[in-house]
Amino acid sequence: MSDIYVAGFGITPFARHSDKGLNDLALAAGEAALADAGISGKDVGIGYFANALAGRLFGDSTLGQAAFAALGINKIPVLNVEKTCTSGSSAFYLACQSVRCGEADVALVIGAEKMCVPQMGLLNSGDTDTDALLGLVPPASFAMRAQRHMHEYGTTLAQMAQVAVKNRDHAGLNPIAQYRTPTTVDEVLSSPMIADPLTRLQSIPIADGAAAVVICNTQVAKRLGAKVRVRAAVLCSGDYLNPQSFARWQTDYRGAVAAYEKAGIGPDELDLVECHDAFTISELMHYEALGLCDAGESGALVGSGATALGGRIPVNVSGGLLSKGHPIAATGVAQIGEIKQQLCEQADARQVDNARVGLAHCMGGDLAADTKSYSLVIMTS
Amino acid sequence: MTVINEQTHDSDLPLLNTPIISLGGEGIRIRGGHCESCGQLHYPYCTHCMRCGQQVSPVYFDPAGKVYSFTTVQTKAPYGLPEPYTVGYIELNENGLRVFGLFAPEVSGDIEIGTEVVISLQALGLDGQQQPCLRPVFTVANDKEST
Repeated sequence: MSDIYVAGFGITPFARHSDKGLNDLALAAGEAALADAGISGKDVGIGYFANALAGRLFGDSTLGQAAFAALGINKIPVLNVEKTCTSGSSAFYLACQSVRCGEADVALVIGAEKMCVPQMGLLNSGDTDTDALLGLVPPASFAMRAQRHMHEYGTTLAQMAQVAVKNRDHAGLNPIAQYRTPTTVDEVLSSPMIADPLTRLQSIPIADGAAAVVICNTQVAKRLGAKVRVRAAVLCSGDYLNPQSFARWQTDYRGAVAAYEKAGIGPDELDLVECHDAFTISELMHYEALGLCDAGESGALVGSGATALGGRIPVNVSGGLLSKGHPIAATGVAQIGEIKQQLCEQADARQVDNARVGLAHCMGGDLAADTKSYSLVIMTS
Repeated sequence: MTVINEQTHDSDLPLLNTPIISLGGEGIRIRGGHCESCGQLHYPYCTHCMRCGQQVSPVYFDPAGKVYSFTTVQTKAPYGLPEPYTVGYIELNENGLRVFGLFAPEVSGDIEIGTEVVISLQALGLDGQQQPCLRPVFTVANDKEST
């Protein structure tokens, strides 16, 4: 069983790419990742392609085969992965397994999404979900967590808004982020209400975009000089037991414990975190589940500046989903790539000083008031 | 807003297909599950127990409960629901399970965490085939009209 290294990363701007198709975006990210790793497409032994929406929006299938063919990568196994927000991180998880067990020396993971199209509408779980028929939409499920967090812990509207302000400040330092103009707590709170208490500037914007990473075994890493090692890649599903707490997301806690145990690394050792800030309240709840602070203390933590660039434990220095935008299947790969860039000291203006240990966290989908899918990756240099 | 008498169902409209159902003489009940092997209660009903994996039997819960959390949705409403509309999770008095539900439009301004609620059926919005339907809605418990 080999150790796993992240050798290359490529990403497109997260934006409305009306002039580019899904394959154009995937190609650009894939080429950039191969170039960053210093390898050719012909060195790739297995490919994973993540996409969440093209089946529904465009009626497409076997997208990965087309995307890898465009890169001149043929003959090898290519697998398509769909798992809503964790599509990209799930593809990464599978790629790590393929390399670890010796099926391939090098794997390429591409996550790509094209969603800024008229037929997009609001994301939901489909007409078969009875909760959706009763009016459950994703912002509502997060708004109800926010209401409960405020009720149980006294978390304030200003503390939630501070998450959006912080991530926007970070995005100003990230050229691929969609929204880079600074904002304020007042502006965040006075933006249109989506589902109270969550306003538009506390909600993820959609985007088109793609991200790709090259991973490899120890032998190839030595040849390429790759130094970022994957210490844990954990994937789990919700437990779906009723009742679920809306102030403490048990699958979030359970996944974090599993990843820390696997990595032999605790939250105190982390230098930075990229987490799934679908809404401002999500980032606060993830602080607590990841052990960055005690339960109920996340509002105070963001308020103290500890999670801003330059603070004790910077979170979402990429700008997060809130400011980068959320091209669904690209997101998980982009988060892992941001950690890789940081650990290689390639993050330019948003570089975290002495970054040696980083964590990428993602979750997605709703079932029985729990998350359907949870992923966590811990990497070190 | 028509409040339908749950005993007689004096409406031609079909009842939305959800786990919140009408059992005629027994009134509106919530269809959940009970694992006879480990005792775990489930909502929504699931064929196999999430705890022990054994088969689960359907059981019917009393829908009376308290608001656990809620929100008023101000985005474009799905299924012809009013804009805005209020939804929440109800903690059932009978067993503490938490059930997602829609609040009747006329009580949406009265909902807080801890509010006691009961259920009724209303002609409200459209079903999955975009046809008008009866929806189960939660109303405030002291609302005589709905009890």
